Amino acid sequence: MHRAVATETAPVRRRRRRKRFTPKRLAARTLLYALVIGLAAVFVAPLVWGFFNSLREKHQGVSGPAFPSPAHESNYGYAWSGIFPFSHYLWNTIILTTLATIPAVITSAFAGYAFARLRAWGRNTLFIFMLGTTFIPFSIIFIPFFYVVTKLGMYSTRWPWLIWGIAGSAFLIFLFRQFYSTFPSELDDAAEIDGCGHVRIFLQIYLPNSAAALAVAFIWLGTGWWGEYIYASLLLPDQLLPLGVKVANYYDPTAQILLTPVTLAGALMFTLPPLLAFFLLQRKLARGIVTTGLKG
Amino acid sequence: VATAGTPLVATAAKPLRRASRRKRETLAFYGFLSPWLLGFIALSSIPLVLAFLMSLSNLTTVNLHTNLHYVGTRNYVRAYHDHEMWYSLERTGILMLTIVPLWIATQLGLAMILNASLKFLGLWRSLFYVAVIVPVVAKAFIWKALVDQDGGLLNRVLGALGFTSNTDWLLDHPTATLLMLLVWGYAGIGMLIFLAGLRGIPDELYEVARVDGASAVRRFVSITLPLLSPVIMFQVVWGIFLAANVFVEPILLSPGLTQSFGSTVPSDNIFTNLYALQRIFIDGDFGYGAAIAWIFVFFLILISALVFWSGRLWVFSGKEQYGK
Repeated sequence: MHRAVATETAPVRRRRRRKRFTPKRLAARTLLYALVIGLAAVFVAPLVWGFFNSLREKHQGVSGPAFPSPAHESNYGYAWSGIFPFSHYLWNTIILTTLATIPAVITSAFAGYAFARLRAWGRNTLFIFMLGTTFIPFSIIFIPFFYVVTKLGMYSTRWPWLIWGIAGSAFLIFLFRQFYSTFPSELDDAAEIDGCGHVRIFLQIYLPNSAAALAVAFIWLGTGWWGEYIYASLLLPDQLLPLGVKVANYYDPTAQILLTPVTLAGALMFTLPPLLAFFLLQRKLARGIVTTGLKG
Repeated sequence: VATAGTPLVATAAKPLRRASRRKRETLAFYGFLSPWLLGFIALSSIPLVLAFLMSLSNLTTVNLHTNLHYVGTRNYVRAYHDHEMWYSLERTGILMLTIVPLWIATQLGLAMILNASLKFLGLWRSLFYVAVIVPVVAKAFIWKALVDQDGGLLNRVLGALGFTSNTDWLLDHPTATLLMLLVWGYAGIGMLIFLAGLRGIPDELYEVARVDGASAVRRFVSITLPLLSPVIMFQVVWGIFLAANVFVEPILLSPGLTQSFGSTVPSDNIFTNLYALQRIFIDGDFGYGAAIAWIFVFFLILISALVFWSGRLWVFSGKEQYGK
């Protein structure tokens, strides 16, 4: 198979090299790169604009020269400790994200394996049900959930996050199922003949080969929970709030107005951890989406 | 799959082993699935039933424990006569009809550009995707700075191009502002999925078409679109679901300070999910909120059925030949 690919690509490459010198192709390429650079600028501009405005005088709006001078980088210090202790709420965010993400990735991987590899009565029906749950709108679930959580005394605690974590995510289960379906099933048969149970097959064969899918799962679910707003704002008291809610309230303590540049500074500091994780795992992420067969 | 057929070909000992193997497999399946299954019962099935029961009651934050009783279809009748509820449904429909095509056009466009054998592919891909990673609070405040009436980037650019430069986007065009944010902030995911789909189309098809003299437009319409149609279907369904659940962005994009439950959200941006939640967290009326939520579910089921049915007309089913 590899040889077949090699013989097929060789002539294509030669043809491309010849093409590169035609003026028409050169023009097309230039146009393409201009388009890519322009689009990339459009997609990055809001972030850059947010950064520029985080450097204005803290009581100022967004008016004035595009890049403020002098730059008030002291806004970042003020966002860190001037109005509320940023680190306290950062820690809250880390706890909530961990509670909701780590168990969910594990249970979703197990469930995905079960849907991909184990035959059992009711499997296909359950799979349809699972996909169906992703289409239930937020309000209809949250209204009774809020009522029950209040009744059970879990209001203003972190328990709901752990429960969501353990229950896993339908989207991740789907992702893992697609991913594990591409594994050769002879692996299972061989392992089973050797006397391995399904738990051992999963833990020793499937899980160690899941780096790409795990990276996708962690990034998607983790960034989602990191920035989560609505559950936290409705269920948690101030001292347990994550930054996702807290950052929206950078008030001037005296004038009760929002300090836009400080809010932007806080929001950008809050964005930094998922951004770093994304750039570190970026290659795995792209490969993961190809190999998990998310295309449909 | 059929156990009845196995004894014919198996030796005497095998059916027994098969049966125990099947049993072990079933046991393992439900064991592996149990955390999700419990979650499915506790977090999806029971709430759905409970919401329905609530919608038939007069449950409010005032009479949580006393005077709680069955009120029949009163909440549904009230919703039927509620103009604001109908307006929220209309706005949700308009949001779906605009954002889904916008998303698909952007995602497919970006994916096709990335598929054109570029240098530094990883860089461009990351730059198009990076907005997805930004938490929603940061997205919203960046957007507020971007569309600000006095000195926002959008008004500056419009002014430089000779258009009016003092539009109050947040107050006068809340849905347009929201649409821009949604395209910027969420197109990256679909772009990666379309890119994977484009990579799955065999190059030979394009080669053959080129030899036959098909133009670029013709190749796009006759090869790319039909072979991508299952992916497009997936994106349409997913886009409808995402659009149905847009309400955090409107709350955070409301003019002025962020109010929990968005009492300052302009009426154009109050979609049905938010309207139902507001009836609970502003009015304290669980019964009425749950009734609206169920009405919304009914409309969503109708829309999904329509989309899936329409799929017979435009989704290319020959894809199965290429595996998956």
